[in-house]
Amino acid sequence: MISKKFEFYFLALFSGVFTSFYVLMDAYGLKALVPDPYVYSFLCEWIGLITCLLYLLVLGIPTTIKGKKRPIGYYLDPYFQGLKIPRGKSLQYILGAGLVASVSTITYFIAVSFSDPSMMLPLMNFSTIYLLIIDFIREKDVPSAIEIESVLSVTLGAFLVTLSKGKIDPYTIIITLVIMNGCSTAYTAFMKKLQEISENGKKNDSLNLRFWSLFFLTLSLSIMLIPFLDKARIEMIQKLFFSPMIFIFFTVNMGFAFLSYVMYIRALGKGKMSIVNAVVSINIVLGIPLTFLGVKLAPNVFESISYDAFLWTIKIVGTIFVIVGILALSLSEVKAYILLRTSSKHAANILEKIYKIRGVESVAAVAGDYDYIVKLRIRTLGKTYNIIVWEIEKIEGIIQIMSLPIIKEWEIP
Amino acid sequence: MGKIDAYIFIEVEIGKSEHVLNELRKLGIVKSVAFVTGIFDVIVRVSVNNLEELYEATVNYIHKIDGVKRTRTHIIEKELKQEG
Repeated sequence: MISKKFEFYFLALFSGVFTSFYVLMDAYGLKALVPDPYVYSFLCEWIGLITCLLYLLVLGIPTTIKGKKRPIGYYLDPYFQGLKIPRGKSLQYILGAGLVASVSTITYFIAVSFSDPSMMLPLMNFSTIYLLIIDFIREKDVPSAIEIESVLSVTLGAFLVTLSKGKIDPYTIIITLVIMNGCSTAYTAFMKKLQEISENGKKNDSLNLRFWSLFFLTLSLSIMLIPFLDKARIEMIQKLFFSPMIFIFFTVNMGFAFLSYVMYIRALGKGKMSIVNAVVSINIVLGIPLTFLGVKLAPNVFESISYDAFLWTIKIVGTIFVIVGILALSLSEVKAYILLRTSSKHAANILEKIYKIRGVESVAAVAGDYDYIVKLRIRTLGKTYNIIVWEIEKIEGIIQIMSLPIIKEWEIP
Repeated sequence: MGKIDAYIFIEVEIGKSEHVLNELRKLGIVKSVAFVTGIFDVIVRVSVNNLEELYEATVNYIHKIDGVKRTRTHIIEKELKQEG
């Protein structure tokens, strides 16, 4: 059985990994295949929607898993039961999510067309802080001090990694901090809400949530794109839409996006929004080696990376902040008392043997019901706890182990 | 003479945990209090000057706290401990 915590970090991390893939593909596509951003996003969303529908139909094919009839998509999300049309409150939230996503996309295009966008990507990382505040207000999952510290470390790191040379444009800053970040925060909050509510006793699954939010995003974005689609652009869309090369490119690109979003949405259902966002920020760090790879594979498309020492120092510092923050988030402290009984002919140096095991804070030989009391204190992903208990079990002479995990502890000085 | 340390395991009546905790914190000899899951509910670590003091603390103080059902005391004979 996989622990809940492991699953949460697995989902969030891999969402970040897949994000870095499709971000790189987007960079390639915009330079080499479809240089016009309006045409690009139109094609991307529509082909993405069609392929997403195909994925869902394929994933809806029933199969037998552990003796039960289930769709293939069960592996991606156990709540998935085939394509279904959202209704009620769920429909409202999905509509909202699609709408805010389209507003942020169109705002991005407009902002890029009249201002220097170099500050945009770095500032977009701050939406994690907005989520941190929302997490704080929602009484159900108030972040702990270490979580706040780690999330801030990741956010600052991501900001530094994405910094690039350019003008500091006040329009860009305001647009990003208000509209872009507002929209992405709202999107995340809608998805979180959708994970919590259920229609007719059935929980929303991430696959349908992705498809239907993409559906509304595509519709509203297409409407907003109309004023920008002149004759030349329409001709370009007509020509490119039926090009097999373009179709395959977007199928793969949106396939990564699909996996990334499905995992992101599932992670949201399992933990705090700000933490999911912080962990997904790993994609910013992964973007650096991937860009190097891009330069190697397609040198004519990707500009060679500048070797500005100052910028690189900042990027490295940022990377450290991101990685340290994510590690600190995923490692949490586990404390427990372990009570041991030993047989009368046990080894003499049992105290030393136990004390040598990693994670043992103290071991006491006692007089009473039990013979030894061990105190464990480890910062770990959870699995190590069992390993330590097995290590203790292996020591000769121990006949009984009673483990008492500590829920809460006060030290009185 | 050195100090005597001991662990006292306490079984607590349902709903009285908060009260027991607050009472234990008033006891000067208590070094740490931990809520645990398992056969006991609370593990207290105490440090006393002699056995008389330990007897006083358990029989005349802890046993009289409302909500304490049962205690088990384990006196530490030898201990290996990380500093800090």
